[in-house]
Amino acid sequence: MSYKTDGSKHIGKDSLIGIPRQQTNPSRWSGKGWDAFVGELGSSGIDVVTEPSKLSLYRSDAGGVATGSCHGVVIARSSEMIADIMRAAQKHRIPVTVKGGGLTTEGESVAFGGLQLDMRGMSKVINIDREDLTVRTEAGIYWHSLAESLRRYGMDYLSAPLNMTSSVGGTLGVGGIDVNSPRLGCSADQAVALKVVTPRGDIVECSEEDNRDLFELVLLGYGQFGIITEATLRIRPFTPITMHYFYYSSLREAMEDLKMLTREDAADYLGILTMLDRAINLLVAFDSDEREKMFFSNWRNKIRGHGEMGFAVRTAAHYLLRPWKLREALYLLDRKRTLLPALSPSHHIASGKIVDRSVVFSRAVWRFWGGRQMVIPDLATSEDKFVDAILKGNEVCKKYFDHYTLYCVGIKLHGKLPRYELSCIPPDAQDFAYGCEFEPMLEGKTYSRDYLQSFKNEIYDIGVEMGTSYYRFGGMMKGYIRRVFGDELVDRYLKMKEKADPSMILNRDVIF
Amino acid sequence: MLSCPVWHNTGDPFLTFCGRARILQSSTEENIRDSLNACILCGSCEPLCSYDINTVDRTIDARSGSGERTGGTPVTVPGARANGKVLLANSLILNDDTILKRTLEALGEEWSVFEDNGEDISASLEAGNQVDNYRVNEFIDMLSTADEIVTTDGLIFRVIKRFMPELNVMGLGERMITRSVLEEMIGPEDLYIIDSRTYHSDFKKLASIYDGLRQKTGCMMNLDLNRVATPSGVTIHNRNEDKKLVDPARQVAWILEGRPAKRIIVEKIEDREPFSGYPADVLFITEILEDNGNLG
Repeated sequence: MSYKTDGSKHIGKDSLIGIPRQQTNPSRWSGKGWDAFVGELGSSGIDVVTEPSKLSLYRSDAGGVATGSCHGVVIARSSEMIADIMRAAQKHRIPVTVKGGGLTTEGESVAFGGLQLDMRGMSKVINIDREDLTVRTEAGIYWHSLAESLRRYGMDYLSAPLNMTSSVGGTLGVGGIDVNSPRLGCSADQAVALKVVTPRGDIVECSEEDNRDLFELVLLGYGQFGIITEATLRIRPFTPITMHYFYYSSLREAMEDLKMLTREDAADYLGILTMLDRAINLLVAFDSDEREKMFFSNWRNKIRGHGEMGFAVRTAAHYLLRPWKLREALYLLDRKRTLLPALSPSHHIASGKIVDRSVVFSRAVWRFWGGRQMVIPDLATSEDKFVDAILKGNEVCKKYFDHYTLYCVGIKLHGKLPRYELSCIPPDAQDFAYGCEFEPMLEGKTYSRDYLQSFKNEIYDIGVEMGTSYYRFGGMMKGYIRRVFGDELVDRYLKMKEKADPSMILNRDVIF
Repeated sequence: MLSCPVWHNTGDPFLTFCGRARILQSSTEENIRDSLNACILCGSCEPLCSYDINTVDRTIDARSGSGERTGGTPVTVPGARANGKVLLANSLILNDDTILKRTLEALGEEWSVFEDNGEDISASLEAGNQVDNYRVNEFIDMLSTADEIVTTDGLIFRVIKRFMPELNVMGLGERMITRSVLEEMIGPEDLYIIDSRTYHSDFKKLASIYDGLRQKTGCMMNLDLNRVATPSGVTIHNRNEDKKLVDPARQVAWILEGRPAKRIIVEKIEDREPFSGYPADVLFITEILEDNGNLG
């Protein structure tokens, strides 16, 4: 079917011209057995919140595209309480959808009927072991709160998502990518041991030594095989960091340099943040002066990025020769003027070093990339496919939005771990994987749900075409899972899920 | 929500500003009454609000809408005007001659106490009662002739900033810091407890000022990683009330965790009480100046 936009047939600017919509919300669960379930929980002293006004808190997630309504909410208080809930839920066949920070973007933490389990009621740090360099914490805790507790003892987490209002449990279930992931891997790889409530309501302690099968299924498991209620994570002594920015006008060159620096372990923190594809910022940071010195003596001359002044001169020359792009130039200038100071606020700087990088970045992410709606489809690729996949994604961004940002980072892999199967780690990745988030700047404009979903689909389609994976592949985009991973692998996991969760109630609309 | 003391004490998202805002999208204020009443107006959420919402003013306005009309007793002297540099000292300071004397000495020779400290207004705001607009206007009008104002009540600080932003008003802590009288009196073994209500009312300006003091002296502060000041939960009006959801003992334990202080210096005199059970000297901010004999 062809459409015209010349007025002969009314087509909204925002309509889906030739683009089929491929994802929808799942249907709402019917409610059968709900009253008996709530009654049973009540007899165990578990309070289910059912006031409609309160349930509205859980209507959507950070993506804001998926909306659903649960029948009731329980704020989790203990593993035992969750075990009681899961046993009753199996018996009455009640869907249970788990939510931590709610920073999913495809509705993975949105309940379409049934019970919403809010894990944020379990937010205590249980023990900080400075000799063993581990922390034991309840899994509903925000990364920010964990960092807060660790800092009191001069410690820090290893890697966490940039947005610190993610919960620890939710992050371990999907990955968790930081700008130090090129060195340390994803957050899930920092887990030493977990306490898990299984879909049948058993409480199981697991680690690489004990109950390893469950440990590997739960990490990067998208909440299918258990609810993480406590986690022991590796930690390290806190260090302020020194940050440097190198600027590129070529996305390809920046990505190639990122790969080279990642491979050669040249920095403690590495990432790319862009303003459109015109101002590409390679972020390089260090925990120690020694590492910083090594970088400048061994690698600085090998990368093609410029310092701020050099880049400003080149960019000014570029736009002087292209006066018709004045608006773009002004946008970049304004973005630089507001963004760069936010990345180095004076009260978070001491002796030229950033003392709270997690806070600085997390707040900047909210302020400059978050907004009311997080639309951030992504691609996770092997090293070989990284540049081509992201260049294709960049073209999709240009097609849909005037302004956008790309955020790219490498992820160190710790061998061929079982947890990487059917996850954000692409099957063909060796030693390192690479991820890129494509983030349109919505800037207060209203886009239809279908428009945003179509944009995401087009990014995801690149993944299918090139055989990559995705950091977010559940929820409304679960249709992509079979297309990317194939039926055989997905069916194998489905059988394991059916065995572990006979009523298929735990986070049931996320993967299968 | 990250910094909300009610959230930290209850783990209940419905009792936070974010929770209230979400509920109100599909409901009426009647459904958030408990949540509004749980708020201690510390302002911890305000600097972190990604939408730049003035959360405390919104909360005050929402909960005073259906509250009772104030029963506070103003100490207004008819026709009184504030002249020169005036201290609005709360009743705890006014009732302690030694502390009051030291505080005035710390401020400097030209300072005097203004009789109307507005405590009835802050009591009404805190209780969620309706504040008589005439009374607030009268209070602000009396202060409008002052050259400088120092207040020891964070809610009064907020009221003055809100209704007369051009007035030169500051909290006692800010005044002491900007006079540079604290720098040599405080060291790395001190824990300095910022008055969260005042601090969050003017966060953008005060975050740098307090950070400067911290960096110069090496002292510890009740600041979190976001530079938000953790409140004890005790205020001039609720010292004897034990029904609040925010437990001062729990708040104080959290403030002190991992901070082995030998002295605790409180900016807000009512904070002496909740910290008094810990093995450290607890001093009101102007008391440390007396101890070191550095006034003049």
